[in-house]
Amino acid sequence: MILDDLNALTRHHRAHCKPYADYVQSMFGKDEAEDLSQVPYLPARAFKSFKLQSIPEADVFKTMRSSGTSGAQSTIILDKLTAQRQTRALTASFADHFGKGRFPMLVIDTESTVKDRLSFSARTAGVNGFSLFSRGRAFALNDDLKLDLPRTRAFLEEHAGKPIFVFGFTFLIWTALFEELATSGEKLDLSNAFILHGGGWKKLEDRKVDNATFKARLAETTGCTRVHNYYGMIEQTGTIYIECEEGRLHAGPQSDVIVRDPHTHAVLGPGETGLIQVFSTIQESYPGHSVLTEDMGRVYPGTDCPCGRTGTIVEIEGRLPKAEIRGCSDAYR
Amino acid sequence: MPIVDAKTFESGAGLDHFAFGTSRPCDDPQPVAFLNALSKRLLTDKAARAYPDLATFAYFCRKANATRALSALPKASHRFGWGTAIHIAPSNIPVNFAFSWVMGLLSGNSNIVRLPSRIFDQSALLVEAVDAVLPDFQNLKYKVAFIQSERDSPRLNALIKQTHALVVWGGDATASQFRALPKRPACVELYFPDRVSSALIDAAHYLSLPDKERVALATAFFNDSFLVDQNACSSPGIVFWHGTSAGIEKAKALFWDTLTKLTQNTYQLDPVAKIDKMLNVMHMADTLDRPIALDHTRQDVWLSPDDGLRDLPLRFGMFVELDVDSPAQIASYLRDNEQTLTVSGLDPHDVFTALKPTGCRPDRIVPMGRALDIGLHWDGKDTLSLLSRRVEVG
Repeated sequence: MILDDLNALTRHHRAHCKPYADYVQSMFGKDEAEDLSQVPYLPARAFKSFKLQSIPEADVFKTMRSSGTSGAQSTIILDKLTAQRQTRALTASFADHFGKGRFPMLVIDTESTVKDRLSFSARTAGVNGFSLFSRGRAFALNDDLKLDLPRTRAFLEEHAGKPIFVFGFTFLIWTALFEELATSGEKLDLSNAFILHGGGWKKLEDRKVDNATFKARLAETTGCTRVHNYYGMIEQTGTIYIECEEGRLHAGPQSDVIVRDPHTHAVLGPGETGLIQVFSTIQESYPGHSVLTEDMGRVYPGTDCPCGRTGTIVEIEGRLPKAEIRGCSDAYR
Repeated sequence: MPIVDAKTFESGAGLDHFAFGTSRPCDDPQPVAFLNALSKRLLTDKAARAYPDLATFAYFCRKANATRALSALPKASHRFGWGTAIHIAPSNIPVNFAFSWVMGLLSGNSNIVRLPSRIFDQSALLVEAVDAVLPDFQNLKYKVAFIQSERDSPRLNALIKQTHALVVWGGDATASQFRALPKRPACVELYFPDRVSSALIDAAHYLSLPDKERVALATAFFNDSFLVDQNACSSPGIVFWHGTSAGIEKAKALFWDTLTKLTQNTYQLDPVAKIDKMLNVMHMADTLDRPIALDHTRQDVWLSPDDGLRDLPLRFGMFVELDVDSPAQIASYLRDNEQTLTVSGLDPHDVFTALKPTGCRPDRIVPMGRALDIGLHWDGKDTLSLLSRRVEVG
């Protein structure tokens, strides 16, 4: 049970992060949580409005910033310990699905996503983070996000016989890899590869692509049958939910998920659709151990998944639509 | 003439027939007759009748109402519009653009009304009704244009540079932006920036009400606040309770519980705004650098006795409650930009008399339930008088 760790983190952050402490005191009061639903939570957007850190300035090891869709940036402050824990958690989740070690990594993105220091995005963070598992790396796309087949094929040939780790954002894999191959009639042999993709389905909404279609089409065009979606966010970097071979995204041992009614914030039962709240026990340097996202989805108990993993299963439906606020002032103050 | 969309407007088209700079005398009978015809059309249009805000506007436009407003205008027979008035409508209140236009119309101006980028169904229906009625009033035909524009539109800015009057609705940021634009030295400018509002309830009177009237009062308060997510300038943020402490305690519990029953059945805050409501609490605590006292046991109605919050944005169902012994005592809590005081159980005139020695901060004191009823006197401004020039003769 991760509850004790979460309670300890709440105490720790209350003692060391004043804006968090005052917020928790105002919204939740003092008591220890007796179950996950009682653990005080921060809206994910809090990291866009406030600098939240529970460590002295001298211990700041790294500051992560993401550009959100609304323009404002989330700021996540790390010390060495939290950064190490992120790496460890990510490595454990990755190894649990794909085995230990490093792989030749084919990134379905352009190299400028990681080279251009000025435009740090969720894509940059994803590619950099998962490059931890690479030995040899190639970028399949040019700067105009068009597939560079010769370069890609050369990389695959160079590593022939080894399992290839293909990584990319869901919409790029669909548009720049699958659609490109489907239109040109070219084939790319990825039968010896596993594909890990994340970032959400929103940009594919108008194409009506669901996970099953995504997998079937990729298998047809590339021969790749190991296609895994993942869910994660900058506020809980390192803690990710990877799709198992049964098609389910499980929480890892140091994390969990619940779902709340978007109107009342009451906790919902298995299979009910609501706002996703994520828990993780690795955030020592900033109060990100319990975060209410603006993603909608469902949870199920993980206990009877044939894959053998027991972590809570989460299904992501998509983002909350932008609010249409009434009132006479400028739309947002 | 339909709404000129932003693309057309920015291309330089859409205002070819508009009689820029023209004005009429304020006692010209045409606008009153036109508004009456518009009112009739809106009240008989099935689609329009589905929108309460359109119905309110239609009643506002009736002949009796417009005539009364003009007869209250000193020397209407000697008044004219300044010329062309440009109106910048707010983005989130559908029918506000039309009220602003009526202010410009009754004061004798020709009017260019800029609508927000999002066109509400009500706005579209209203412009349709105008188009249907206007051809019967040849003298008014080329004296109005409904437009949309891009942000920082060079064409709009050029028109503002020549215009005779400018009316701006919106937040402080919008007001500052339009204030800074170059204009004719004599341009008359009216701004309606961010305002805040309060309610005052007499506890003893509330407790004496039968259940039915308590529900009616909850509905009135709901219409003032939750109907617009408590995000309109006129929606109360502070609720003052007048009476003895025992009476107030009892009245509070009854009042908020009755209101909560209503919101549970008829109200849903947008999920993103619900999260904003939590973030607002975080901002409040951060601004004050301390936790705030907060009762959020009721789903939609969040309450705080913390008077430190009164200068912070109170919206999405967040109220500060303060107890007072006398109506005059509220003066020390009212804010610089206080607009509307809605009252229950007290006569608005008596409340005004009580507040008069303190300078009476609010611009309006009205019965609970009428916070959002816009009028030709708004934010302390007599709009018909300000938007017209008076000729002195003899």
